[in-house]
Amino acid sequence: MLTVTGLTKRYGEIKAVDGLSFEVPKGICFGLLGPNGAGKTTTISMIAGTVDPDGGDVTLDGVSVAQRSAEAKQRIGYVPQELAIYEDLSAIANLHFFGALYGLFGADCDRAIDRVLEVVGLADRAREPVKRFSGGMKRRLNIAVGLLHDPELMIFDEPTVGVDPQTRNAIFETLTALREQGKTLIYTTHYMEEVERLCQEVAIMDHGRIVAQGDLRTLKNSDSKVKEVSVYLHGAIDLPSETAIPGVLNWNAEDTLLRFEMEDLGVSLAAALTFLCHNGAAIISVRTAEASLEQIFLQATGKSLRD
Amino acid sequence: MLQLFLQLVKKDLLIFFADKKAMIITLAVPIGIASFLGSVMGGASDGKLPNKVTVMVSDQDGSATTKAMIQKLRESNTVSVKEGAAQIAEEKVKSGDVAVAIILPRGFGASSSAAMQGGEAPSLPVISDPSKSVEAQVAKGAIMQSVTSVLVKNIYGRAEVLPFKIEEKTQTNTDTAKWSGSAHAFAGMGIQALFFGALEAAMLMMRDRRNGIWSRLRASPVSRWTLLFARLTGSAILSTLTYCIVFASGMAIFGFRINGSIVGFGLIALTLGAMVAATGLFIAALGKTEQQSRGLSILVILSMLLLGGAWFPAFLMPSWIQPVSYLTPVRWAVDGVDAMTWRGEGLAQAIPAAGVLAAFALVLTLVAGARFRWEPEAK
Repeated sequence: MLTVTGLTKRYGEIKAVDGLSFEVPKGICFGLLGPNGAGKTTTISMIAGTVDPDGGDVTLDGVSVAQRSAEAKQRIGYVPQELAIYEDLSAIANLHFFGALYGLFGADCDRAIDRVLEVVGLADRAREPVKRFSGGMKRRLNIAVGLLHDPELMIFDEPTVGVDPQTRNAIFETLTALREQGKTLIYTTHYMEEVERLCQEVAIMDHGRIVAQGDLRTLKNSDSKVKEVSVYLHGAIDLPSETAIPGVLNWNAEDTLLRFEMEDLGVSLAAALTFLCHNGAAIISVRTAEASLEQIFLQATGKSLRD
Repeated sequence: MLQLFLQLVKKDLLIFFADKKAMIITLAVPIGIASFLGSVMGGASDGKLPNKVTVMVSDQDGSATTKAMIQKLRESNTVSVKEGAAQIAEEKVKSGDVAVAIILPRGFGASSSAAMQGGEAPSLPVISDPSKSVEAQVAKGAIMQSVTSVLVKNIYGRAEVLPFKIEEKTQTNTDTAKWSGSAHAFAGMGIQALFFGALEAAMLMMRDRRNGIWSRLRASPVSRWTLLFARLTGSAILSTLTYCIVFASGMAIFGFRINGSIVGFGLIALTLGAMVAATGLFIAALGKTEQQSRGLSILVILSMLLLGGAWFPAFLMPSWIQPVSYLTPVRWAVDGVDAMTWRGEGLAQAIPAAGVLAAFALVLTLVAGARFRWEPEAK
C-alpha cells in the first residue's frame, strides 16, 4: 500500500502541494485529477522520488521514499508526461540503458526487454532509432521503459496526451492488463472518461490539496452531488424563464422535454414535480442520471479558467 | 556497480557515434580552422619570419654606393625590396600596399660616405604606414644594417663590416624542436572545439531535462552522484578523443611532432577533457533556459580563449593581461600542450598544467553536482 502523509512542497511563495495525505490500496488504479497548476505533477514527482518534499513522507509498504530511496524506487515505475527517451538510440538501446539503472543486465535484461516490447507492440521495430518512430510509438516506448523492471507501483503522468485514438486504445489495453495483473497504478489525466474507464478510486486536487476523494461510485452517488433529471411531458409547458422551481439548480425546456439539475433528489424531486403539476405540466415519465465525473470535477474545483 | 557505470558511459558514447554527420562536423571544423590559422602563423619555424616585409626603395642618387646599399638590403632575410619612383613609393605606403618606403636622395652616396669621416650627415627619408609599426621597425633595422655595412666597407675595405656576429640559438629541450605556429594553432583551436562541444553537450542536457529524462533518471535507484559522474566521464572521454584526433590531424597535415613527453601530452589531454566536460555540466546545472545559457556561455568561453592564448600566443598580449590569463584554464592547457610539443618538455613539466586543469574540473563538478536541477520548471 502507498501511503502519503502530510506531503508539502513550496516553490518560492507558492505552495504547490499543501499537506497532502491519502492512501492507495494495493492492486487498484488510482486516478489523480485536477486543473492545471493543481499540484498533480509535483505530487507524483514526490511519490516517484524525483522531487524532494519540504515536508511529509511517502511510504510504499512502510518503506520511505525519502529515507530508503533506492529500495523504494526499485519498486516504483515512473512514466513521465514528457517522452523521456533518447531519440538517437534504438528502442532496444534505450531499454538496455534504463534496464541497467534498475540492475538489469545480460540475459535478465534481454528477457525483460522482450517482454515489454511485446506488451507495447514494438517488438518488430526494436532496432530502429527512436527518432524514426511516430508519436504514438514513442509514447508506447516511454511506457515500456517504466514497465521494464516489473515494478509493483506504476505512476503514469498523462500518458495519452497528444496520441491518436488507436494509440490511446492500445495504451488503455496495456494499463488494463497491468491492473488485472494486480499492479497498483497511479494515473493523472485531464480526460474524465479515461478515469471512469480505468480507475477504481479518484482524488481531485486543487490548489495543492485534495478537494474530493473516494471510489468512483461513491463519488457519483454522493447525496451532495448534482443529479440531472429529465422530465418527459404530454405537450409543451408554458413556464416563464425566470420561474424558480423548488430545489432545482437550473432548468431548460425544449418542446416536451424539461431538463434540470438538483443537488438532492431525495429531498427535492417530489417538490419539484408537484410544482410542475400545479403549473399545468402533464408528466409522462421522469428519468434521473447520476452526475458525470466532469460535473463532480467542476463542482469541486469551480469553473474559472486556470491558465 | 562497475557494470552500471560502464552502461551509463556507453550510452553517451553511443549517442555521439549515432549521428555520423554531427560527429564529422565536430572533428572537421576545428581541423579546418586550425589548418587555416596554422598556415597563416607558419609551420615549424627555422628562425625566419614567415613573410618578408616589403620595402619600396627610390634611388634618386643612382651612385655605386646607393646601388650597393640596395643590393645589401636585397640580401636581408627580413625584407624584400621593390624599386620605384619616389612618388609611386609614397602612394604605395599611403594606400597600405607596402609598410615602408625609403628615398635615397641625390648625392646620398657621397654625402653619407663623407659623414663617416666627419662631414655633415645627410637625411635619409623613411616613409612608413602608421598601422604597420612592427613591419616598419623590422624594415628600419634592415635598412640601418645595410647602409652602415656598405659605408664601413667603402672606408675600411672589409667584407665583414660589423665588429661582432649574432649567433642565434633557440632554447628548447631538444635540438630539433622549434617554435611551430601550426602546433600552437592546433593546440588552441582544439581547445576551442572542446569548449563549444561542451556547450552543445550542456544544451543537450538542458533539453534532456526539459524532456523529463533527468526526472526519469532521478526516479531510478541510482544515486545522483553516480549519474552525474557517469555523464562527466562520458563527456570527458569524448572530449579527450576529439582533442587527440584534431591534434593528430594537425601532425599529419603540418608535420609538427610531440617532441616532449607523449605521456605528458596524454595527461594534459585527459585533464583538459575532464575540465571541459565539467564546464558543460556546470553550464547545464546552473542554466535555466537554453537561450540564456548559450549567450552567456559563449561570452565566457570566448573571453577565456582570448585571454588564455588559444587564438594567438599569449606573449603577444599586453603585459598586464599575462597574470590574468593564468586565471583561465585555457592558458594552462595551451602552455601545457606547447610544452609537450614544440618545446619538447618532459612529463614533470606536464604535471602543473594537468594539476590545475584537474583542480578546475573538480571544483566545477562539485558546484554542478550541488546545484544540478533534475526537474523541468515546476508545473
